[in-house]
Amino acid sequence: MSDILFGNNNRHAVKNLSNRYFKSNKSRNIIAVIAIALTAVLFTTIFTLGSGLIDTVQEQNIRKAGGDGQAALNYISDDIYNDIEGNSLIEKIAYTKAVSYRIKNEGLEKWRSDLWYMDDTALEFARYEPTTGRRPEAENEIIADTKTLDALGIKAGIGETVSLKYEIKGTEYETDFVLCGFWETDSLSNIGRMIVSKSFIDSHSDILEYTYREDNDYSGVVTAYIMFHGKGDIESKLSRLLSETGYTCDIMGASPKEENYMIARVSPAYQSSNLFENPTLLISGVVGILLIIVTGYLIIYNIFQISVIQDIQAYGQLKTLGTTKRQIKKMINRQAVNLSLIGVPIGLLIGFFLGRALVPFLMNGTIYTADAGITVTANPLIFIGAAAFAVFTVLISVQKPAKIAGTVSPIEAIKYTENDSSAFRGKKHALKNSSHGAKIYRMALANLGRNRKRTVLVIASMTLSLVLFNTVFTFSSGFDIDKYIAKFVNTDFVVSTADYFQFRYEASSNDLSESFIETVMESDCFEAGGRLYTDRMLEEGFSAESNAFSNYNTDENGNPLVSLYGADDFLLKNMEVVEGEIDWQALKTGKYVLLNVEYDDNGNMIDNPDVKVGDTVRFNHVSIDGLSSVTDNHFDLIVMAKVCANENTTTTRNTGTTRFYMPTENYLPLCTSPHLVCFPFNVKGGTDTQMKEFLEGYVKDIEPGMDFDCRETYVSSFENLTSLIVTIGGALSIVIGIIGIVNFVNSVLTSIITRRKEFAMLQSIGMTGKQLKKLLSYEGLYYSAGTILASVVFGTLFSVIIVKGISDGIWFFTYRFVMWPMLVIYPCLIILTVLIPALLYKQISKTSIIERLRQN
Amino acid sequence: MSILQVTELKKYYGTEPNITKALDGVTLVINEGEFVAIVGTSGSGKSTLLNMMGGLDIPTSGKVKVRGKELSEMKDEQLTIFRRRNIGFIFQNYNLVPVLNVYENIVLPVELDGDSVDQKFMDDVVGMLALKDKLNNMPNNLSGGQQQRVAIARALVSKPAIILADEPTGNLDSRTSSDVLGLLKVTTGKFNQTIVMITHNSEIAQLADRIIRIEDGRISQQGEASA
Repeated sequence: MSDILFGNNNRHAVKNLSNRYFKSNKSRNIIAVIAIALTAVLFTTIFTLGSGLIDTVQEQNIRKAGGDGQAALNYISDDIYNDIEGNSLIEKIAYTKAVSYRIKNEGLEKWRSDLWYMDDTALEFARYEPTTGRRPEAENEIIADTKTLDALGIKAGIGETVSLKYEIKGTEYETDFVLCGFWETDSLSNIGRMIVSKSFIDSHSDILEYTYREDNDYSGVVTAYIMFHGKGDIESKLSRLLSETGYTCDIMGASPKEENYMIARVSPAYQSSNLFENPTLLISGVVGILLIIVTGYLIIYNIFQISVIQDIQAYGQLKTLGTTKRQIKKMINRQAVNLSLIGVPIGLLIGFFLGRALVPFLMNGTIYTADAGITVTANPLIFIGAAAFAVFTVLISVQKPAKIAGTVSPIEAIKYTENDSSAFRGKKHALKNSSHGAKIYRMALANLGRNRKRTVLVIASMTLSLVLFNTVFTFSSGFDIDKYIAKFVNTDFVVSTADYFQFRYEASSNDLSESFIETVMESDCFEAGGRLYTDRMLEEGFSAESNAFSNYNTDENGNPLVSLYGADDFLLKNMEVVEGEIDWQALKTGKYVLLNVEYDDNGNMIDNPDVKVGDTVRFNHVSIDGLSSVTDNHFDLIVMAKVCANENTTTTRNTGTTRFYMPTENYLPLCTSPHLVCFPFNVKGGTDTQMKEFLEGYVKDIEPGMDFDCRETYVSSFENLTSLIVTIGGALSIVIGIIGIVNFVNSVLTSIITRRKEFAMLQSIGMTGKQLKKLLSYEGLYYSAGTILASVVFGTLFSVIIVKGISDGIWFFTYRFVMWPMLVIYPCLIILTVLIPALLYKQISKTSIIERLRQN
Repeated sequence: MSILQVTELKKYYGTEPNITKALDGVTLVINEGEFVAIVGTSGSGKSTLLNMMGGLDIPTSGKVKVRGKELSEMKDEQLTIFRRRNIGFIFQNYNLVPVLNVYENIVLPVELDGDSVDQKFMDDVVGMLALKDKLNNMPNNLSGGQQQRVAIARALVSKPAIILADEPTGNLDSRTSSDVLGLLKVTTGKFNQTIVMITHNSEIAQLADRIIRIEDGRISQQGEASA
């Protein structure tokens, strides 16, 4: 550094001094490195978690979306594809063509697999590149995923014959393909795929013509996946692409009736509602970072504060010799940077592995799954960010101690002893009225007052971890499993077809069997249950003549289709009446209907059609055949009440339409061929396990097409969520707790070292080693007492104000004031704080009293 | 009546041939009520002798008996307790406990022993040392002379068999030094207190009843102060 006034170069002197002081402070350095490393661990863990979460969610979203690509153009023709392909906005475009959606082979009833052609880009996007073998080239070559091959009963091996029976536009074909490659089925995928060669579709172009607009047949439709140049809003790029090429879609406000309309959408993996725009996540991230900065500050500041005060006489000397305030500050900053150079890399490494170990827990708490693979890349940004925050924390933490060292008065510093603050122009306690004498516990208390700041910082540091720990458990214990499960299933069990539970009710060709229901009802465990009926959407439906309801699908007169259900009393009685009242006798007359209103998770009404209780609604019965629909009957029903019906027990689980309910006996005559949807039921208390075991056996051995769902499924998903909070929160509070203890150890250690001579003197006038240890243990005990007091006060305030505030926004949370986590820690805290000082004292007691007395 | 006996006391540091003989066979007897000054140049071994007498340091060989008890036979804990009951220390740099006020500092050794203070004796001592109106002060608020008077009071209040003073006036100016020493002599005289004081100042040594001169770890001269 060049001195501005004199232009001399004193960089060497400052560097030299700084390094010498640095080396003479070994024990401080070790503790400071630990503190800095722990701070860096916290930052890296948080960043790794965040980055891992974002990466994994995106990766899994891509896989769920069936492949990469920021936007997809669905059900287009080759002509449209050719129009769009060359546009300059596009970086990459993938071409896929459906060959057949109807594979007739045996074994594919329970595992659906379609026949497609996909170009190289599409294979890459979809991750369908064969892991064994190569892409299909010859007309008779095919590749497939392992699960599909398994379902077909074909060994996964190159050269195997794949005989397929498939339907294209109503005509059945049979072809013997040769397997030239395959890949492992993605665990996230619930659909398989077989892929033919370009020469196959070229030679069958006559039967693969695009007829989707006329007959809704998928064979021959093209789906294109697009990656745009650069980053930024995908939706606007998609709109621009379509308008430049003369097309339109939903997001541009077009209706399907328009000539140039196409179904184009932004891939969910790239939708703007990504994690960064989720305020909860962003706020938790910011709060987490602030918390770490505060934690790091508390300890690093304390370490340097103590170290500066210990060396204060040396700094006084330096000032006497003409070192400027700026130079002393520079010396201390230099030391901080040196310590960071050691501590930060250690922390980055540990933090990365800790974070990576924690990501699966985080994933399990979300809708994404850890089993499907976690993506945590060693993104340099994680390290750069964590290192930057850690160094920032270190630098802000040493500012004040550096200032103290810089502003010390040279004369006062020489005379300084620890309880004397005059060197820093602080106030001095001249008198202490006491005739209690010199009891050890009083001395100990007085000793804590010698460096109040240190005491307060240590207590704050330990309190922080306790409050956090308590908060973690307040959250996890406040999650209300009953509220949570009631949202998903409001009965003990639901039985239906396997398709129903895979959200494929509409596509399913089989029905819930009466034999299954009969068997369940005959069981001793059975208490009460009810059947739910509705129509089959592809065959018939109901529309309502009212503007209050909306649906893209309408009857031929433009009236929106609605869902009309017939439900047994058991189900109707389980519904929560939101508006109006149910007159059971009147309801059974068949003149009334119940209207469902939608609520979100937090219990806020999200969809309440503009219909009043008592209004009459005209319903039409619509017969559907392919794309054409005919209204053949109508009837009027009065809305008796508005209800809130559970989506998992009283719907087809496949609906976005307005729902109406009426008694089964009134419903059945209105429907041409009513279908049984499901049978939710309750069992007698304590027989859950018995019934579950019975059902498991039944659907495995007797009726494999049937399946069931029960509360227990949701219990485990709930437990995942709770364990997420406890694991991640717990891990972070433990690291912060370690920081608190390190802070305590450092304070006690330095205070013992500073008072070595004083202790020797006390021993010379007759204080025994035991009494001295007792004195130190009392000091530790007061730290505990202070921490306990502070954590009770702040823990309570934090819990009642902040945690309660946050938890009110979580629908399945019942706030309970919790203190036991802190109560559990207190004994450990007391033991540690009493033991550590006595143990540290042993270190210095090795030198004789005389040697210690002689020390200056 | 002898209260302290030192016999053939030796303290060696290091090993042959680089051996340092801090004390090399010191034998002396100190009687009850005596005020003895030990003088010698720096490095002569006088501080080592004093530390041995107080049981703060362990001799290489030889014996120290205080009130007939052999110090080297005691265990560490026993020795500490014996020390606080029988030996009072006065240090050059006072060594007061900074977090305790004057009163608390004075009664500390008695309280460490779990005893209660003899209040009358306490009042007498405090009165003589002119500390009555300073009892509530903190040490860092006192002058050097005042701090040393507190140290003297602390040494006296437990009524020890012997007081060992290591350069008690080493940090004081000459005027204060003679005030403090005067007080020390008067109080010890009044309470018939035995005192052994180290000094390198022969003028101060003149106040003692007897002067022992130490050179190179041996007693070179012994005699009445006035002689």
